[in-house]
Amino acid sequence: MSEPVLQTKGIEKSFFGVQVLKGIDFEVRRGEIMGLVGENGAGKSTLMKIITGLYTNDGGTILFEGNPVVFPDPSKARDVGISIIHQEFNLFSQLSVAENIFLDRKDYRNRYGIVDWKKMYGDAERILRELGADLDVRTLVRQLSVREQQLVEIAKAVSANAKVLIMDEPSAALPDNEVQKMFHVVRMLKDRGVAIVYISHRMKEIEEICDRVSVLRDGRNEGVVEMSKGKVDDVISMMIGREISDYYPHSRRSFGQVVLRVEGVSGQGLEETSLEIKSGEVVGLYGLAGSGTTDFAEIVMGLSRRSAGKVFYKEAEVKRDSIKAAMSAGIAYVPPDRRKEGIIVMMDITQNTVMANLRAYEKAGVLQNKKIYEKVEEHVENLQIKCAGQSQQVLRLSGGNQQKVVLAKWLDRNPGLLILNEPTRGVDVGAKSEIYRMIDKLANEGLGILMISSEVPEVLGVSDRVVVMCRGRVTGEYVNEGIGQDVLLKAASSNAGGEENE
Amino acid sequence: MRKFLADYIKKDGNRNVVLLIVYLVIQTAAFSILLPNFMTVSNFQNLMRQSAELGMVSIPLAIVLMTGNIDLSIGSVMGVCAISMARMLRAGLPIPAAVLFTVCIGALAGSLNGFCVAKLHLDGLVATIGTQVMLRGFCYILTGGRSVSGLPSEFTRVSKMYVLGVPISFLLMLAIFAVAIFVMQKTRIGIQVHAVGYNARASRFSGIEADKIKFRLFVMSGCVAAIASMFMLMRFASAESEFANGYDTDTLVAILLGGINIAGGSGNMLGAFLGLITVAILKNGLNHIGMTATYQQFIVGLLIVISAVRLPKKRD
Amino acid sequence: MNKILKRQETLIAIFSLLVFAVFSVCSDNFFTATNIRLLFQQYAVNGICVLGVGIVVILGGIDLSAGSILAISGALGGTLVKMGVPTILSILASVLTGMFLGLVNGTIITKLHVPAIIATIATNYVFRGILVIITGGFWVNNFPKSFTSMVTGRFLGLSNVFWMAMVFLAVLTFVLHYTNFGRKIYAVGTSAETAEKCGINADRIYILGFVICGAMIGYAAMMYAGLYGAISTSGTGASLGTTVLAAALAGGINFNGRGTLIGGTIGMFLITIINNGLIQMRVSEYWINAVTGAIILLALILNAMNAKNAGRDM
Repeated sequence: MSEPVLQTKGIEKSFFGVQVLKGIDFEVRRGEIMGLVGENGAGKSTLMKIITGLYTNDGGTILFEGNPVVFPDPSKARDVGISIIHQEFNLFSQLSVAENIFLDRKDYRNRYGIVDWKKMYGDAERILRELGADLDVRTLVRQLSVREQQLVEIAKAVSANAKVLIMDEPSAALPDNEVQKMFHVVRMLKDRGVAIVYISHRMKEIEEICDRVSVLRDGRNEGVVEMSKGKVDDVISMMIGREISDYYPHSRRSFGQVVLRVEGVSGQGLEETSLEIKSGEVVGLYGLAGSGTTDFAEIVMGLSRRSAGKVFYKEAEVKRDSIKAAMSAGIAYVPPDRRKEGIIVMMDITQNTVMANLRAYEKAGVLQNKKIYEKVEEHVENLQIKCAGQSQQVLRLSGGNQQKVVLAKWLDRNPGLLILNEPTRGVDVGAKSEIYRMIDKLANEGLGILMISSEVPEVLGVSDRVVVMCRGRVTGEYVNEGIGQDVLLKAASSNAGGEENE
Repeated sequence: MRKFLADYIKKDGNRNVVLLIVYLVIQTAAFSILLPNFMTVSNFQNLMRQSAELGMVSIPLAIVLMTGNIDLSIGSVMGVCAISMARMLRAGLPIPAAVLFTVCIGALAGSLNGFCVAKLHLDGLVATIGTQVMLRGFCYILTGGRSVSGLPSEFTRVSKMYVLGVPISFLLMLAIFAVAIFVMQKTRIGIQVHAVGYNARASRFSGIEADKIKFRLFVMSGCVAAIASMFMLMRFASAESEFANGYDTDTLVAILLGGINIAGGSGNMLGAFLGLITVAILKNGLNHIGMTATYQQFIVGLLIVISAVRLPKKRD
Repeated sequence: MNKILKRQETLIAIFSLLVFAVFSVCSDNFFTATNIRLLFQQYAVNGICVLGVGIVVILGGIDLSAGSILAISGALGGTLVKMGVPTILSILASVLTGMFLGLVNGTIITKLHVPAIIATIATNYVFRGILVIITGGFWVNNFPKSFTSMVTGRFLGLSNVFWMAMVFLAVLTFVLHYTNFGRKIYAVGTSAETAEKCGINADRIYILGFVICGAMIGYAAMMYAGLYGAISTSGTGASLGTTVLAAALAGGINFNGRGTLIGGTIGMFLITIINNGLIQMRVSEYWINAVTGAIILLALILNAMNAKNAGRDM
């Protein structure tokens, strides 16, 4: 077996005193496709950012072709042969395909700094042709489809003579029928001897394309699996690892009337989806990135346009596509991106908490500060928000406490239905279990809860019923009694009943 | 007390307030020692009259800035309003009717800005540069290049009216400021405006209708500009095509000095008020020294740069 | 073909020709040799400035201090000419002054983190103030004939300054589209963050953009002095910043690496044609600003709409 091109030994990294990488060993060989899997927060992307020089590690070494290396920034890593393609592409939309591949490279300008367009276009065409891409290298990148943009990223790596190519969730933004085309390109690079690190949540893809898989859990190595048929179950169990029952409180309770009924709703990223939630019920909505779970929540909440279908809240139709209509009906939504959508970091706990319910505190148009103070104190107490006082800026709270503030904001409206989208993302373990307890408690109090998550153990631990989505459709629905994790993973990477042919 | 002060300064936007108060005290003291005519009743009455109109229009502009927008058309809106008002009065319209119509014209101009920003989602800077040029054009049409004067004395007289020695326009400005401070501190609008300015997406996710707020603010800005223009018209007793030209930058300067961040969100009305007073006193004092407008702008320009400098924060 | 038609440059060019045609039909005085010569001369000074400001806007910046830079550079260069310094050296001094002031702007914006609009509003005041303090607010005029005749001279029937603007347009367009540096300007304008990740020093490019802008204005200042025979230290260039910015935006240049200097040039022509034509049509002079403003607003809306639609296919 050949020597590894890229190897890490004992990589450690902490953020704000929380250790996220606890001594990671990782390697990838020439001409190998190495999968890298783990739950959200397991440390995959942190590790890759350290390798490419976006973060500096606290401990451990990176070896490239046997020599220790440290890169000040990703462009230096690229220069020696380590390229990374992020989920969000690093492209200039206003520049042409060829320029995006060769911008600022010495070989493409003469000593007066004049660009050698002929050579640039010629080489770009050659590289893209080798990748099997039929692209006009003169088009501006903003006019390309997502797959074509990905090809430009790959071409960029190839042009830099990449010996290692790291791909972070490369299929997330691709339409179904284009994933195979991407695989084709990846295999071609492998045959040329490029070492490929393939990060993905989609087990089906991992099974299909990877030679070996490294599993990370909670910032530690969990092991490396040589892939062959049937090995994917090992990977899944290594990923999840822990005993589920201790971690997730789950009371037995009876459900009440239907609080939310969604009938055949379509819209951006969503096709004819139907769903029902009863009061006191926790429904887990599971799906991978791009599966349409967030689109579903945003359409129900009136944040994005609904092109067809009906939404009922307790038998009354929620007609208008507006968040106000959804809010006044009694629906609440905790969005997935806390810092961009959930809270306003520059404002304090008080303001964030009452933001969605300001009218309730008005008397003749004037805010009743005393009433606000008392109510917010109540929330701080009930949700155990750890802070120096409610006038503290939310910026200075930990992730878990910030999430509790978002929760407080919506509970303040006394909703009948609570939609939680990735409620434990970027939250430490302690706060996670507090949030799970909170969900259980709220359901016992009679709220209907829809919890969207891309973490299987969480979904299975918290939900009464699990709905799985893939590519904008519901692909499975299960009562949560002894369903296997593999069932959910398979449903989440299925093709909605073989609708592949267009 | 020391802790309170330390906390206060740490809060975003308050740094400038504290610095400004210190600066204002030093500046006023210096002028009153150096200039014999500075600390006189008539000078202060003058100062108040001059700063009243600037103060009025800076109020809605400050709030517009807090939402992360900008309005560079205020001077032109004032011009159109004042000239229309003057022509209406010349045509013999009763004063109350003329006032009403003028405010409507201001509101109309404001809603044009609001439409561009809140409905067409144009960049506020781009849109209001456009309306600035266009409305200034209307000023030329309305005057036909001649100055409109000969206004009824019942109207112009108002600028010389005092309550307890304070000009009426200044009192009105204080009143509007008081209302604005009240609204921003005590009603939901305050929280919503800051929320939109800091993070438009998160505020939309909390059910705040940013577009509606922005539209109303621009309309409000137009109305206040109309009122301010009337007082200016009383003072000058005539209106020409260049009426209030360049007023938008003067207003912006006063507000920026007060520590309102042009990127939206932070800042408070007290800062805007202090910024305004600082600029007014500075200009007045420099006038007494005999400095021309250009000199004054030089000093104001330096002050803006100093107050806008944000040293980079360390990245995590 | 469709692609070319959709470009803002093309739209504005067609629109300009249309306006030109309307004026030619409606006014006997518009389409005459004398007036066409006048029109190109009216265009020339602003036309040089729009090249510099255009680069700044492509970079995502804004320069509202252009007027003051013009006044300072022109006053300095003009004084040197009067003192008998050779014309070439005086122009060089004016250009260097412009570059220095551009450097000041760029440095304040990138190193002190002051938003470009605030910084240049402030420096507009400061530069003007310095000038008035130094000169005492006087006019700089009575230039030697040797200087003015060079500037007011004609080549192929059109003003020399117009030809200079065309030369600069060609040179800068070449720089923007065919040199590594020029492509980096577009890259930084599109996304400074991405540029940094690709190992490009975005701050440096940004500052250099402002320096080039200053150079253009510095040159234009001497042309202004020669054409109009005087620089008012307190008044010259007062509305230049807005006019030139409006022309750039109307011509399809936008704050995110969009647009070309050719577009900005066409935008400036449009504004000049409208101004000149309305006067020739004996439209009351007072309508001119309103019509100009309305057309600029229209072009700006068009530009913003274009940018938004194009943003969507990303």
